[in-house]
Amino acid sequence: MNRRTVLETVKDIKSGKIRIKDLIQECIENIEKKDNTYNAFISLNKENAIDRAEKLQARLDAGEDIGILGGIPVAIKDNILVEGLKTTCGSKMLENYMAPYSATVINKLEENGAIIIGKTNMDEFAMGSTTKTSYYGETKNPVNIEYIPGGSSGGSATAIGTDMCMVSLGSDTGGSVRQPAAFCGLVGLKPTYGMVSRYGLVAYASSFDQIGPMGKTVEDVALTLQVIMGCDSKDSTSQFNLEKDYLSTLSKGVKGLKVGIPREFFTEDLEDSIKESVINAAKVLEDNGAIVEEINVGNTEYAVMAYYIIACAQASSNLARFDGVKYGYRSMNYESLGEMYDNTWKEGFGEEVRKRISLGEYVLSSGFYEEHYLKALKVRRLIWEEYEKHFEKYDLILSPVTKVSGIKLSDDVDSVKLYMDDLYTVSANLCGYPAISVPFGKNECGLPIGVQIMGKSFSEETILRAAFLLEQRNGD
Amino acid sequence: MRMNEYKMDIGLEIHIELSTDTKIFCKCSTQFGCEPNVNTCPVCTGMPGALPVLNKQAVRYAAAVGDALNCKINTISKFDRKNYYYPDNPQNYQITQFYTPICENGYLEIDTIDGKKNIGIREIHMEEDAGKLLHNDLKNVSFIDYNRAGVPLIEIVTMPDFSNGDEVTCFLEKLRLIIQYLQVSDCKLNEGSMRVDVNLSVRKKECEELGTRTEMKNLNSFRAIKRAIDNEASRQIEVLKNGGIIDMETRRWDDLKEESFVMRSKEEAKDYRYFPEPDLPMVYVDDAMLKDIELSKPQFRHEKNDYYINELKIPEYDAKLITLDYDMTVLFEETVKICDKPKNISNWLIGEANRILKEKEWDACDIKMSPKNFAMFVNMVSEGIINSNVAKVVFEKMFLEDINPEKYVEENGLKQNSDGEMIKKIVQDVINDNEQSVRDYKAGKDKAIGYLVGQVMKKAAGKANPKLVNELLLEELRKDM
Amino acid sequence: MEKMLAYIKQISKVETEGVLPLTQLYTNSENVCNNDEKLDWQFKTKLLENAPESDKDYVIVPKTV
Repeated sequence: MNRRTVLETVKDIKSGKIRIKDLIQECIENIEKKDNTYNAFISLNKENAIDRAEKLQARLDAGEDIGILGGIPVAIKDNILVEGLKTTCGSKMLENYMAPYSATVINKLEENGAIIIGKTNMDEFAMGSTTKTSYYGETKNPVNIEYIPGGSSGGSATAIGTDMCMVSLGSDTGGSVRQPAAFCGLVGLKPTYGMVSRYGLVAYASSFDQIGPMGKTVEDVALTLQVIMGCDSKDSTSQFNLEKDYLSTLSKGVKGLKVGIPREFFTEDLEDSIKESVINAAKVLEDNGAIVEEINVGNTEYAVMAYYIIACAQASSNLARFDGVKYGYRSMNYESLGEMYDNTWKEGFGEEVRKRISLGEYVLSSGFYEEHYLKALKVRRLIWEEYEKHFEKYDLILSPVTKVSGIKLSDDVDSVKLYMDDLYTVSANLCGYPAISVPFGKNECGLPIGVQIMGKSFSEETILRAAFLLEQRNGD
Repeated sequence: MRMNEYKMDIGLEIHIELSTDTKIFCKCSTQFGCEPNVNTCPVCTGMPGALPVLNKQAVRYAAAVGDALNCKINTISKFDRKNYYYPDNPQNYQITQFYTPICENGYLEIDTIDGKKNIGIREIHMEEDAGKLLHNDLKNVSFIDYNRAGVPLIEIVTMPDFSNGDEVTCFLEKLRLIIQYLQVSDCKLNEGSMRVDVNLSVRKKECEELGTRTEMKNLNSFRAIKRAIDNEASRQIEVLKNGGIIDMETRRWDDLKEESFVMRSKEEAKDYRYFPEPDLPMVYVDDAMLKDIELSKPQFRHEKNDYYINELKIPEYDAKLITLDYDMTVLFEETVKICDKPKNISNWLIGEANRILKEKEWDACDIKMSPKNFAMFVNMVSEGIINSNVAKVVFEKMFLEDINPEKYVEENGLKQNSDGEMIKKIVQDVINDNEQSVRDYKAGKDKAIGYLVGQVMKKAAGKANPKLVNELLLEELRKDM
Repeated sequence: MEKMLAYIKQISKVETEGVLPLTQLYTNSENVCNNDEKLDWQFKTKLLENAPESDKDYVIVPKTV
């Protein structure tokens, strides 16, 4: 499994070379062997997966078309609802919550033949970039178990890296798909805001959240994106978009494309090996006919502040529904309703979540709303206008994904410093742009490095083309 | 009320439940009176991952009300979140329109003792209703029913233009009729499809500035509203006269005790942390919708009134009474369409129908009688098929049970007897049996004929044509004179 | 938390005179809307099953004031 792409696997399944049940068994065996160490999964779907494998095989044998992801094992981040399975969001608050319905993306995956293996570990309620804030323990980097896999979609990345599945879905609010992809040597894509339905994704920051595919290759990610994208009548923010066949244009190359690299991103604290990777990536693009130039992007450090203000504010409202009334954890220490609310909040949420909710309430409170939340929305517009201007001239923007290439699990990083590390990824969320992290280069310890390609809204085809090229040339 | 030195300034916040088939942000039914928690789904119960989707019909209804109240209808309006914790609020935030409502700056003209007056409408905005809570004091628990959570509401906020309780009642009655005619809500105070909060302040007559206002809730009838207004004005004047100041508080009216109590003081006022709703795009009211509203604008009360008087030629009194209830106008107009005898129809509505409605404490919407049967009935009466006594009986049966009048009359043999020969025979029998009365009549006592007519009717089992009876009786009596 | 606050408060340094807040990325009028047609989810059972405290009809909480 670890050498084949999704397309090759689907072909082999179709031709009978691989039996679906064997493929699923292989995943399950890997999980049983390795997950005690790696802790990628919170819950598993073993029996159902095998049952589904048998049913799909029977249909295939009868000559039916079982879909473009027919038989492919997929892992789902545990903040995306799958009916009949627990959805915990990495939190005590939803420890035993059984999803009463499936997210739209899940229906799409299953209609196209995918088999859901289980729900993966994540930072609690997607708030974090290490997967260490999960109530269900930390997840290890598949390349080196001393390191974090990144977050908040850490489990989704590790599951692929350890061959417990072939592709996975994560969610990206400030970089939570791209950053773990970079740390684990995988490809991770955040689609344009509105490309993929959020119905069934537990909301963190409604203006930024997008479900994104992760995989070993650009082709795997492109294929998964094609399946999960599309306007949804249950999500008012999802946009009408035409059917796209990204696979057919992947190898079109980058000739004539104009690529900008923001000067301001190359700060003192950016690791040298990452700087080198970006420069090398730029060279590859140039060698293949792209025009690469440095550009100026102002307000970069304020982008992170604006992101946190808006995200925490929306989160404080989105997470208010977790109150012990209708579902999830309810404290046992209460005599009045007020006490029930307070204690459920204190006991059900972890420290990082409580911190962000408190910050969110603060920036929305009367007297502070204008100078914080409204201000952040204005800064958001300034940043967006600036990028829009650049995108009139440039097709793509190339940048690092992270400031460092490896953080040890035992490292205790200052929280504000961690926030600032989101510098390269948050602009895509603030402005709704699509962005992909593709492995390019390694550091001196052999840990993978990812570079980010961002495009203007609905330009997934272009960023996938560029990522595909870099992937081909990685290690040259 | 001793208001000599002071005057009142009153403003209203009116919540109206819209009668759309589905909720404002999901496809659950809005039907009233169902088993608890059956009209629910992930959206209106605040499940994780659920998202709101706007019901276009709610927008149309809101815009239609704004149009009828002479408001500016904003092409673009937005939704905002109002954040607060309460068990009837599944997401612990309410989606409402705080910053940019759908309608603004309208007015409604009312009649006052000093002539006509315009009450300003500051805004109309859309929002979602909360669920219902039931309490069990013994067990110290509350029960939550989410059926009502997500039902579309509009909130109409007036300017503080009212000067007394009568103006308020006049306005509310007029507003209710308009909304009923638009058919966007049942608008019933006692059922909760219309809820009124009163903001009231007082000031010395010479004073230009408005005083500090209080808010009053739990006003469940027009009478309660009027009582609460008078009570609160008195209370505030008393406080001011004693040198105190009015606190900006929310008070709960108790109609049994006829007093209000403090619910929430200014210090306890919540910070709702309003911010724009990120899950919903802007609300567009485009030209197509505006045109549609214009075209489907119904006749409102005064137009119907004029139409009934001028075109259908029914008396002013009848027209006024019928147009007081939208469902009554529907019954009236549908019946006229079938049998085209407006005066006859309105007679029965003003007379017998009204009597039965009062007796049963029904509204016109409770009448069982269909226009088809009513029209049939009216024709039968004017053709003399049944006499007036029988008609009253048949009418009531039809009113309460919607019986088919022709069938009923047939089955019960109630047809008016207009057989001249048969009646003549009965008349002759009665004359023969009542010599004394006949002698009295011939001696000049006209009253005796009443008795004789009664006897004939009795012998004819009440079905004889009274006119014919009179005619034939006189004829027979005069024969011998 | 104070560190976090101090960090984000630096945003006040940005000049935003005359700038409108960006709340909606897309301004197309082609909205996703519902057209007032009922859909029965049959959700009551699932709602009550997930509730920490419920009876056969209602979700139960400590009494509200």
